[in-house]
Amino acid sequence: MSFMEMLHTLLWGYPLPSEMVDPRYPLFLQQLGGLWLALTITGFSFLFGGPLALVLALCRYDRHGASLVGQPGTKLDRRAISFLATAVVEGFQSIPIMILVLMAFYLPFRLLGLRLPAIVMAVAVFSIYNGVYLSGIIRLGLSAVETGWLDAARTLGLSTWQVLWRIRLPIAMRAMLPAVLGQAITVFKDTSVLAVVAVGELTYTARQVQVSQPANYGLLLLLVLLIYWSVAAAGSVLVSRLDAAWRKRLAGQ
Amino acid sequence: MDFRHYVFADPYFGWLLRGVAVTLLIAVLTTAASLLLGFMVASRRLSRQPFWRTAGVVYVAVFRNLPPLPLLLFLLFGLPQAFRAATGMPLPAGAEFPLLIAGLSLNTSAYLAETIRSGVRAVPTEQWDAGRVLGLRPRTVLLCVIYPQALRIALPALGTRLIHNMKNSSLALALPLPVGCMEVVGQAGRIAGQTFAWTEPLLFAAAVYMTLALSLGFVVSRLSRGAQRRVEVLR
Repeated sequence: MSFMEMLHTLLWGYPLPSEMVDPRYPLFLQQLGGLWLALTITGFSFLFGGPLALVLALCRYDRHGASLVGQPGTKLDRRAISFLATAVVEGFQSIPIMILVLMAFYLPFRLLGLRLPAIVMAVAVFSIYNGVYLSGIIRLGLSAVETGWLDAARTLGLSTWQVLWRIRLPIAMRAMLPAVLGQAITVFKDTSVLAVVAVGELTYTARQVQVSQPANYGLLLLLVLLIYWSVAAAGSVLVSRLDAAWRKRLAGQ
Repeated sequence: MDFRHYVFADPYFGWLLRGVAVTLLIAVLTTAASLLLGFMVASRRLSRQPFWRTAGVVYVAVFRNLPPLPLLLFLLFGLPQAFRAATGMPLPAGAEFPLLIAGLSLNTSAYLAETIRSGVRAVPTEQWDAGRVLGLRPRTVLLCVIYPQALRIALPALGTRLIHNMKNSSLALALPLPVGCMEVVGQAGRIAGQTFAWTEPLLFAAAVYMTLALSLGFVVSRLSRGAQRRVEVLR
């Protein structure tokens, strides 16, 4: 196996044997591997984890007595909801991603008899993982918005939800962008944990290649590290650029 | 769910307890090593000599952007191979555990260095001048005046990263460690290998990490509340 072939395999992974393809789920997802699979899982974790994070953040958000969900004293008491959301966030944050991944791959079948393709499990567990951490970022972003602007919006007659959607979230979004990108880099690096449950992302692909190339395992792993590093470093540079630009704008105001 | 047979049974519970002890040992050793390394790198980054400053920047840029699991795999599989190619000898036995500690510390120290540096940046510059006026050497000012204040400012971020570091010890599951050096998830996997029951030992391991992380988080938030008050008094 030449160096270029090794690099190509690490980027694209090994094709899934046809008997292992589950026709009920998208074919392209099951046939992805290597670096592209790691990036795809990261992307999907934002697609599904983003809304989850927003819901969790809005449930928890309780500063200035301005929680947006539930009325005190009713069945949907905002303090109970806030407590529940906090428990979910803190609970998931206290478990290492390695254990979350193992739990996602062993518990559903054992407890519910559920058998799903590995890629679905991987996307599910990383969406929850990402959502839980993102909710903290969103919550901080929301509470960093100056209350004066919100008061102004309310004075103009906007409803609570309009203030949230039209004023608070857009302003918070810009402030959150560097932190969200940093989170994306973290999730991308953490997808390497999926190698222990045989999801064919970058790290697992290196192990697969190693079977036929045992003498080159060190080189393969070095190559893997280099690939992870280039993607993460490019992201970090982007984050610090955005951060600097954001600070400059804040200073200009 | 059969915790009585797969967790609280004779050899298995002993394995798991040993795993908990190893998890704690890994956490303590990597915390100490990465704090030490982190301070060293942060000092380099604050140095006046461009060479050392660049070296600090490169260290942080390299290790912060490497995922810990592939880094550990490289240290435990790639490094012995390179060692054998260079010297013709295998790596001495028992090198796995120190390599694990080294890999985790390299990763965490890069984050800590960055946190410490931003803590130092947040200390008012007058503190530097005040220390210099008192006749202290720059090194003494940094160590005895700036760092204590920077630590208080950076404490919440430092604590979060160190808890993360503790959780990272679970990555050892994927590494070829001797049976005695396996942490709690590794021991859970060992039980699963014998009994085919992953669920119960895994839930036990999750509960262990949850307890550790939540109680450490509580300690950190208590400490940083006190530190915050002292920082405000200083200003």
